[in-house]
Amino acid sequence: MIRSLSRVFKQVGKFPTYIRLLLLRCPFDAALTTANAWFLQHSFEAISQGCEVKLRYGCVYFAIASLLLFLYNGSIWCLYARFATNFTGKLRKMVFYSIVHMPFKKFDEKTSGEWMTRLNSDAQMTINLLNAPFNIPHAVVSVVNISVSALLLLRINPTLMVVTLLFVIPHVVVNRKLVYIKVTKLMEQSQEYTERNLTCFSTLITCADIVSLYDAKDFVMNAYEQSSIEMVRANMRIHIRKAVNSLVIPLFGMSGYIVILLLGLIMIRRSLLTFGTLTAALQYRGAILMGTMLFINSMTEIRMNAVGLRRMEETYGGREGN
Amino acid sequence: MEILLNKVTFTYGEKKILDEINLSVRKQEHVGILGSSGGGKSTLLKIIAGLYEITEGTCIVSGCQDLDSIRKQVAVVMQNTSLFPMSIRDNITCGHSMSEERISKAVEAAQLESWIDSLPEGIDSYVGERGGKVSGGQAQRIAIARAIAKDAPIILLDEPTSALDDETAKAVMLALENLTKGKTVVHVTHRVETLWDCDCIYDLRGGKLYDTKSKSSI
Repeated sequence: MIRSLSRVFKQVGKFPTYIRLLLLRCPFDAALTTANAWFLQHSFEAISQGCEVKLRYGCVYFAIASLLLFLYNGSIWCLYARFATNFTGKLRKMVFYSIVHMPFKKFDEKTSGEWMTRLNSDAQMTINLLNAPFNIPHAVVSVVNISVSALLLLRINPTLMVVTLLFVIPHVVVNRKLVYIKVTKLMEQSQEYTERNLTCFSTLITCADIVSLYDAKDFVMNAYEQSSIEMVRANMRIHIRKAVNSLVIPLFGMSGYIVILLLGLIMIRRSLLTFGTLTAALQYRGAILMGTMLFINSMTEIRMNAVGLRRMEETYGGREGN
Repeated sequence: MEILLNKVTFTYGEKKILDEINLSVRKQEHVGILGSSGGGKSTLLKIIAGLYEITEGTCIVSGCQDLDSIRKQVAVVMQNTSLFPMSIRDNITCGHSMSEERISKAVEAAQLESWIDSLPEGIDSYVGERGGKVSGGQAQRIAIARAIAKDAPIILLDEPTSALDDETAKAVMLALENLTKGKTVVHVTHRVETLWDCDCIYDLRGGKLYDTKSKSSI
């Protein structure tokens, strides 16, 4: 996929801008987690010490930090949106140019539905892969967030870090088995059915005279309906797998939370931990969980959208089509 | 009269394509309509086929005036054949249940038999969208087989051989002979030599149908 992406960038350009934006977007989640954790730890410590001034300063620092972080994040996403618009235009132009300059034989080999899918859906999937939420940007952001949160949690309390990992790893394994491995094939099927559906639809237009004269409305409509049902079924299979995976999330999330609370109680009783530190640890644990979920979902979406990237690469000649 | 057009006028927006056309075709008569490109030949054919609603006048085909009934009475072979992106069988039957015998007869009359026999999947072979997997002549003969299988009393031909080379055109002409035998035929074209079997020929110019000419006068 990386090779395919680099070929796309070679054709469209803008690779340095993309990397710059990606790097600029990276620290936000980790910084927000750190700010939240610091604020909770600082506030609960101030409350337990009965120090109002410390609490007030903590609130002001946190408000300023949050405001700056959101301003920063908003600005980066604005730049991202501008980049995405330019990139989308260039990419579509490139795919369209490739299609119209294709040898006529190749053009005739595929159905109009397939060309439409390549020009619209496949190009959109490539754009999503690079710019949309739960794709490459979020995968990178989540990796940074997980790493920073894990390091900070490890520094606060290694035991809580190990417990967190014990509940995160099974979730990753379940996702891999249920969704990640299967999603490419399901997405390929979905795209094939979309092509068929579009071809049936264009038949209704291109053969309108024949459909009317030979009373073939029901016949063509049946074919359209059939391809529509197949397309919906393929998409449903993807959604069902994602839904089953989502069922697992609260299960691991809640059990991990309860275990950490019980462990935290024991540690506080033995003076191994303060309440403020426990809240900070819970914040980091939450960030690790959220980061993992974001990473898993992003990887699934990346894998799905990579199908579009591969097919689009065939279109513009980066790779020979079937 | 099998086809009767009385003062038929047809306009696209402001532009008048056909202007007070009068045409009468008897049962089993073969009529040719000669005209240059853009003269309104195809529009006239589409009106007779019940594909276009006329702006003014009367169009009666096999005693029917409503478009749905007219469409049932006609079969059309056009210059650029539209094929469904499905099998040859589906393109001939158009989804209607037909006996194998009826399909075979249509295939034979359309001169498609030997070609279909040479295909690995025979009549169930996929023809591709825009007939991408078949030649122009083969696509045209599939369209003829489709028209034969419909067994409509009126056959409308819109330059069915003009896009083909001489040899392919000959084969298609043979198939057309089988299609038009004993039927009422309206054949529009810009090439007079393709109207050799017509009983009478009309001239369509500037949206008006001029002089009824006998074949010999042309």
